[in-house]
Amino acid sequence: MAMYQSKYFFKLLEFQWERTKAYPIRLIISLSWVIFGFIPQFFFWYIIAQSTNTLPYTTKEIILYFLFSMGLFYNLNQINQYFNTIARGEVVTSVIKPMSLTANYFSIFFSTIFINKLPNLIIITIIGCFIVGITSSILAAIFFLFGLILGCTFFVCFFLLMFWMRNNWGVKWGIDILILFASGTWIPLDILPKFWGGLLLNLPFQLMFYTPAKIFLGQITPTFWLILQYVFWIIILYIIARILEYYGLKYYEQLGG
Amino acid sequence: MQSEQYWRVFKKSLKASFLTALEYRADFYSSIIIQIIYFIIQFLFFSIIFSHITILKGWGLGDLLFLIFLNDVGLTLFEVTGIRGMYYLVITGQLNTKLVKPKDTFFLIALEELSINSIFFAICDIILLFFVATYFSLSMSFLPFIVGLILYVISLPLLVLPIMFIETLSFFWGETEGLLGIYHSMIFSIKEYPLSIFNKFFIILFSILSPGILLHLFLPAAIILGKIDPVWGLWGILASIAFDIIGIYLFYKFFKYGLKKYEGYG
Repeated sequence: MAMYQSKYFFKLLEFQWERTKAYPIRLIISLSWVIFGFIPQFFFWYIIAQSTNTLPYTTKEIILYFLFSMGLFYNLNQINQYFNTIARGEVVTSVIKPMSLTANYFSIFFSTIFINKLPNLIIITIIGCFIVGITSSILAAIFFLFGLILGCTFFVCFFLLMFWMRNNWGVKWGIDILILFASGTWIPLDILPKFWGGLLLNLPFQLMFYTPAKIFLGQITPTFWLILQYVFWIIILYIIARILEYYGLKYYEQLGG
Repeated sequence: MQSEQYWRVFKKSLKASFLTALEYRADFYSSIIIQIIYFIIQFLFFSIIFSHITILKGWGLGDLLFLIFLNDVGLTLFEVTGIRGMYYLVITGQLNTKLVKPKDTFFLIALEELSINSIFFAICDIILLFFVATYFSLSMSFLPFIVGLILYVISLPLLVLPIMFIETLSFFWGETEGLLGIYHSMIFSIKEYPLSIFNKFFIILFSILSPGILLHLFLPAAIILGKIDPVWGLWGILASIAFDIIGIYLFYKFFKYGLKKYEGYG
């Protein structure tokens, strides 16, 4: 079964890549999107870093931090089209044995976001090689991918909750904000007050952007313990997803089935 | 007679949207709660920033929050209409259902899936504006306030006209979603900060790309808060009126041309 699932996963990756090649203009648009979103952040944080010396970052570091997090940030918008699949009844086409719904969703989410972010990841890694060094850049890219696996597993759990919540866009928007804030994309977590910073640093979201961004800056050295944290949270979220899938499919009614 | 018919269609659409919102109550309530949480997070975010600095290019914490909530009102009200989904109707061929004579197609598109939630979000923004103005004791004079407010209302079309042009572009090109994303990304990033934080090159660039950035997202708040002479506001009002008339005329011509080229109905 694992063999079948991994085959499906790589087929999806290949399909996403082919689709991207078919629409090359989307790549340019995607990059321009990042640039236009990044410019205001650049000026904002540049002025702040110039005006104070109480931040635990130099001007260069804070700019690089936001280059990394803004350039690679992903949210549920990129997989919006799958959000309604349960409410609309389209999920039945994904419940095909021996594939689990969790594996199916994960493969779709990961391949979509990964291929979408691949050009940005390559560009940021190359820029990083010249500014922060080859080791930090490549390690940050690897940990970003670990974070992406974690993020997609979390998205799967959230999407499976739609068996009970139907198409609740309010909650979806809340999750977007939560990820934006708790992952350190909006603001580096070590700038936050002690209580909030301490709380968010103990949640898995920080592993999605904050940790890879700090590795990018060379402020965190990856250890075996850090990898274990990723593995731990991925396993926990996977188990939650499987439980949700089991009870969700039991609860689900489609065409009287 | 014609206007009566339009009014009746508008009322029916509004009622249908209210009934939909009531049917999905969980979605409605959670959206409002999340909106409030979002405000709290924004407040927290800028409070943290202002614990490191005292002033940002002449703008204090209260000024900045006022700017953000003011800018949110207009954009949120635009979100009420169905124009935001026009490109989707065009590329999927669903626009066919809107080609019902003698009704104006654009009018019917604007009424597609009216977002009632957005009206409540705009009300939340207005309440927060009053809260920020009171809590931070922002000083406002009568004349600048009126000038800023008029400019704010008149210049709103300038901010949304580019969206409408890009949406209409979908009659000729199927990849407009990305362009919309770029414009949204630009607007939603810039609306959080005063334009004065950018250097001259970017101020000019943004103002050329969309005059609404200067005339809607910056000048009204700056005039109301007394950071810019209200005389500039009067010039802004004149410029907005001129741009509005030209922009809306060109848009309508472009839309009609696009409609002629539309082949969704065979």
